[in-house]
Amino acid sequence: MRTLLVDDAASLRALVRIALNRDGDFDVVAEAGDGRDAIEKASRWRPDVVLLDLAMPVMDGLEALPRIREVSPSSSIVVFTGFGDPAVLRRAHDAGAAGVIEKGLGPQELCDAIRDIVQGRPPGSDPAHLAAATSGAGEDVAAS
Amino acid sequence: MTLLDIPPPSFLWYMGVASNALAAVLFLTLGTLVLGKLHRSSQLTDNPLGSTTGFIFVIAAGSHAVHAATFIGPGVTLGLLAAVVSVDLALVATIVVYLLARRRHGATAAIYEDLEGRRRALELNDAVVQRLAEAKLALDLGHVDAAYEAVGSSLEQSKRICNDMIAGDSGRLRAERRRT
Repeated sequence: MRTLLVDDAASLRALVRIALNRDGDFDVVAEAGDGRDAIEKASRWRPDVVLLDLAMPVMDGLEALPRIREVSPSSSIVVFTGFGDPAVLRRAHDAGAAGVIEKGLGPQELCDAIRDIVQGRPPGSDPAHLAAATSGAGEDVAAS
Repeated sequence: MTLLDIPPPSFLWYMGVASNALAAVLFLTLGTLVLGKLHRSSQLTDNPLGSTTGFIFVIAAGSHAVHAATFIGPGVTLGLLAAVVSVDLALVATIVVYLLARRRHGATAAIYEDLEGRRRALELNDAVVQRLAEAKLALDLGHVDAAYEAVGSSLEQSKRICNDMIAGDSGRLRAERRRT
């Protein structure tokens, strides 16, 4: 799956890129450091998956999310955030996120979680870290 | 006696001009302080309670300035009355918006608490959550140097946040006793 990584922390992006490339299912085609850059890169690369941080400078993830959907409608947008507040997650779901993953997962858990969300499967073995927006009822994220 | 009957220069006339002018200046000062702080922290559009409060002060300043003008001006003209009514209607409308926003955000919501809490949450997200998630991922991937760097960065940023929160207050620093 062609993947666009969006996070203002370049060091974290580098580690996530390593984790995804090692998995074999993912091919990181581009990276962005803020929401505006993410929209431009999504428009250019039309990735299968966008892994999107929320708290970023210039334009945050919640503002960028619907615009990314406009320029790349076929992309599955997976929010990747340190914020576990249900109100924030609900906003992400309402803005069109395919699912939300809280930061702190190991590399294999991260790849499995992205795969589950993109392929519309139920969340993985540790519900404390995953929320899938596919059911429509909006599962709650258990506190990690 | 109506407003139209108060001739200058009389004590009431001077009081009318002075009190309205002073109120206008003070309201404008308050509004500028509130809106200025919101603008500097990029909360002008994200904090409806804060921004409507600031605009209430600014419009109230305009209202009192127009009232002062009714004393100073050549007389109560139709234009001046229209100005008084327009400014007061704008004030009413802004107060209604504020009350609706307050209802949505809860009766205990305060202007600067919203700003401060949000700012701290974003700082802590960057300094602690983000960096520790990075350190954990780095360790899982076997990148020990990257993990050390992330933990070190988190430590420095966390110390800075704590120092900012204490902000020169060298009062009691006794921490809560933790249960072991």
